[in-house]
Amino acid sequence: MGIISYLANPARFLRFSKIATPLFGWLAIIGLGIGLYLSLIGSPLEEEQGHTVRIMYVHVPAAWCAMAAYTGIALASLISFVWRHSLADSAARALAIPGAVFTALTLITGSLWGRPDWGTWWQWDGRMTSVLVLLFIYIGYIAIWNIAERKIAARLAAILAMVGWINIPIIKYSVEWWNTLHQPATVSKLSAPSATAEILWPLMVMGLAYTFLLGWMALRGIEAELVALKAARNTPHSPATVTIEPA
Amino acid sequence: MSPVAEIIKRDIKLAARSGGAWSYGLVFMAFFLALCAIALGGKLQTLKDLSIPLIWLSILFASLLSISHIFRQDMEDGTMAQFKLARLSSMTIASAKTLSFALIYLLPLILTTPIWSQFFGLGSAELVGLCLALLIALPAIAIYVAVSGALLCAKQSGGFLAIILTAPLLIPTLIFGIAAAQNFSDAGIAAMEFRILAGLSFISIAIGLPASAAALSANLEG
Repeated sequence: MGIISYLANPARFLRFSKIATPLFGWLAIIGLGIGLYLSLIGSPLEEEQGHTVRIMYVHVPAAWCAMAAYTGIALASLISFVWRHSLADSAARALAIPGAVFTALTLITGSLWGRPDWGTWWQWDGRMTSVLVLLFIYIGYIAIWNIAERKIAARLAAILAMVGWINIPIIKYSVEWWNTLHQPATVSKLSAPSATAEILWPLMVMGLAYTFLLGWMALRGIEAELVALKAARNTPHSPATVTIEPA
Repeated sequence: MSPVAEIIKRDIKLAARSGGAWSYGLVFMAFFLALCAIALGGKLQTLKDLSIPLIWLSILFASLLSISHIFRQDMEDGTMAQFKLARLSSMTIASAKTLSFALIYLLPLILTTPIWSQFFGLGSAELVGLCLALLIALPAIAIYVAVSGALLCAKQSGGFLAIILTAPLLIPTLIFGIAAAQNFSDAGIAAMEFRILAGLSFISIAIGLPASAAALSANLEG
């Protein structure tokens, strides 16, 4: 709780982000450089899948970030709802669009991976369906920010994010149950536990790099929102003008 | 008389005087199902398999299309502000309005399902299962639509947004509701799906009513 109340002050947050934002950005660039080299050139081919297995290194971290971003939104929403910290609203809002983009990226890369492996762009598989629903939840969350002025919209968005957060596991398990009911022949998935260190290392580096990228985007988003709020506060009201027209 | 009963009585009276506005959902449902049957070729044999999912969808869409009756109309004409002045809690208002929405706009849809189901030649066992599943899911449908209604009650037009916000929350209800209706002829009311459906309705009460109340408060404060 200590760090949250410390950062809740915008001035202190800006001092923190002045160091943290570039750090996250550079770590993301370096991590992506190393990770892409390791995953695209350094890692071995998979026996059955060949080169298409390399899609995993951009797909799995995207899925991880998509879920992490929503968790962040839900946490920030809880903080904003209970303690009414305005900065928590900015954090939740800043995470929404990157999170939605990572979710879309998960679906797109998954689809590109599925085409050569499963022979189809789309399967109503439990995981794919729940990621699609997550994207729907993100779209609703982003949309609700525009329905009212910031203060009310922030509160409504926080309520929606928390309701969505509680429902995500319910939706996930329903979809998995539904999927096993309707499709006994489930598509085979990459057996993750048996993955070797040669595959695991690039994946972890890419995961870290993606996480820093998400953190950098969120921090930049919060900074932008703080600047916009400050500008809105400091805009002097233009003097009233009256035009008198001759009758 | 408790405020909840008072509000429900008032809503029923208003609906009765509205010149039939409460029945638009029914008309929509009949149109939607007829259009589906025509679009799908009109052969009863093919339609029969699709009837339960289509009836479920028609009820979900009909309830989403009557979303403005839950909170927005009272918000616009100032009734909501009067409720607040009368020191009713948001929870009381949200519960009462959700209940009256379920009674006036959702219950007629479910009660007339036997009529529309004949568009599809649905057998009697399936029909009983479908109606039971719908009745058990009624709280979940009403409450999640009400959550969107409370979130959007200050906005003039929010039809599409209401669908976007509500649809993800209703996916489990839709999945288990359809499965329960389809499994009724095998396992009866004791089917696992019915119990899960009842659980989903209870969860919706626990999550959805406080969420509607909080959203209502946020919109009334602003």
